[in-house]
Amino acid sequence: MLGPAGAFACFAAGTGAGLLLRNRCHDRFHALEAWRDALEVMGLLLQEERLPLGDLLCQTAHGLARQGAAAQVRARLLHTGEAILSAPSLTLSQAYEAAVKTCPISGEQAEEQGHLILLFGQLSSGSAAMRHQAVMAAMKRFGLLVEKARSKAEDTGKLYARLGALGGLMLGIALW
Amino acid sequence: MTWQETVNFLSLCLPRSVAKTIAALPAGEAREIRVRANRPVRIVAASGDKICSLVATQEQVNAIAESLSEHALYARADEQRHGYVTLRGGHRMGLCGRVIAQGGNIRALREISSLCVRIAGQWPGTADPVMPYLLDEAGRVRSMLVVGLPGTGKTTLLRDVCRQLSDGGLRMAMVDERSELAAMSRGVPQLDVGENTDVLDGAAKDVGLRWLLRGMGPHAMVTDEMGGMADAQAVLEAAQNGVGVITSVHGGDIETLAHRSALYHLMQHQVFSLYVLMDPNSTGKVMGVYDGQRQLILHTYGGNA
Repeated sequence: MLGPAGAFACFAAGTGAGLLLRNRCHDRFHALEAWRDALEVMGLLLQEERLPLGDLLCQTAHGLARQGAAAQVRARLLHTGEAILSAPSLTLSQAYEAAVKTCPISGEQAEEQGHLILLFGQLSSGSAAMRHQAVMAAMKRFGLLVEKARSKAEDTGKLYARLGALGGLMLGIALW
Repeated sequence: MTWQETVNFLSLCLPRSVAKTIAALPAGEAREIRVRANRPVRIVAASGDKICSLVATQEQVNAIAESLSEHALYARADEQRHGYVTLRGGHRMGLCGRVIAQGGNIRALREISSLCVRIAGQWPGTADPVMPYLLDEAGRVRSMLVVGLPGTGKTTLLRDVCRQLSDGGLRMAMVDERSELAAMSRGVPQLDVGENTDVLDGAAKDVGLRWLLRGMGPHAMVTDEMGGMADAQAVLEAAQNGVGVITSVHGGDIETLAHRSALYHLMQHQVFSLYVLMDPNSTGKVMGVYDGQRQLILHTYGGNA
């Protein structure tokens, strides 16, 4: 029906769809990794420096890479930090929520979104030690999420890629 | 920080109705902002108190304190234990609330119930009455002690002395323990302390004076609110090294200074060649200038000689 060109197109489309789904799994993994790195920097800054929260977030952002998922996390942290620097009457939670709308992160899911909203609420109350503890607890949670996401990215991602290629091949053969 | 910059900063941090009241006052008129839980906000102005319509809840008082400190209250635990925090621009925010104490020491302050922002001002010319007496025949800066009650303008005078000496070409160094003299923000003084001034921000006075003496080669050093024997010893060392020290102390008169052991120690060594007494009935006015033997040498403004 479609001939060889059409069959090849089906195969390519199936492979592409599979790779897209695989990349989504990887996106989440990379985003979680970037957050874990950001939390590590933030924890160190909280321990070693005594910065206003806006500066803390901006300096944390400057410690991240400028490409990929890290760049997206960087942008969100910078947006939050600069918001409370320019409008100190904003709470940290309000600034973060605005940044979530303005700075999306590929692959981000509700689970880590919940953890981050909790963290940014905890960062605006309590002593320095309590805030540091909140960041350490968040790092632990993100560490577990990273491992789960890595495993899913490897296993499920491969599965998606293979299923996509296979599905496209079968469709191509069926419509040849 | 100019008055307009101060108003802009306060407008960002305070509820709109309070910011509007302050902005409506003439430049420099507002002296204090007092916020108390479940009470109307008050602006203390030179022409009298202005009562705002806003009645702040305890949560709002807490939020205002966080906002004024630019979300840095948690990082200023040491300052909070002394009862106040210095804001951007050199303004001082006093805090009241529930104290968490341990073994007689204050560990933390919680549930902030009231705050008082004392608005810093830069009044060029405050030091004019004392400037003619600050340099000796050889052009060296004399050590000077400024005495005054709280709110009489000691810090303002010190800042202006530093500015004038610095702009006159002398190398000045400043230990700004509470960030009120120069109000450093990201390494830049928000208040004018002179072109030729090095500022050590946040350091304890005794450590800072020695640091500057060793590293910055100043002609004179300025620091505010001299405290106990550790501070006095550092001042003595500086004076013995030929560097003038200009500092201040709380007090209502010159005569009773010798009752304080730290000052007595310095008087024994004749460290201060000049004493300045601030007028208790106004802000930024010199009432009298005294020589090293605490004899009145100069005019008075207001008060009696």
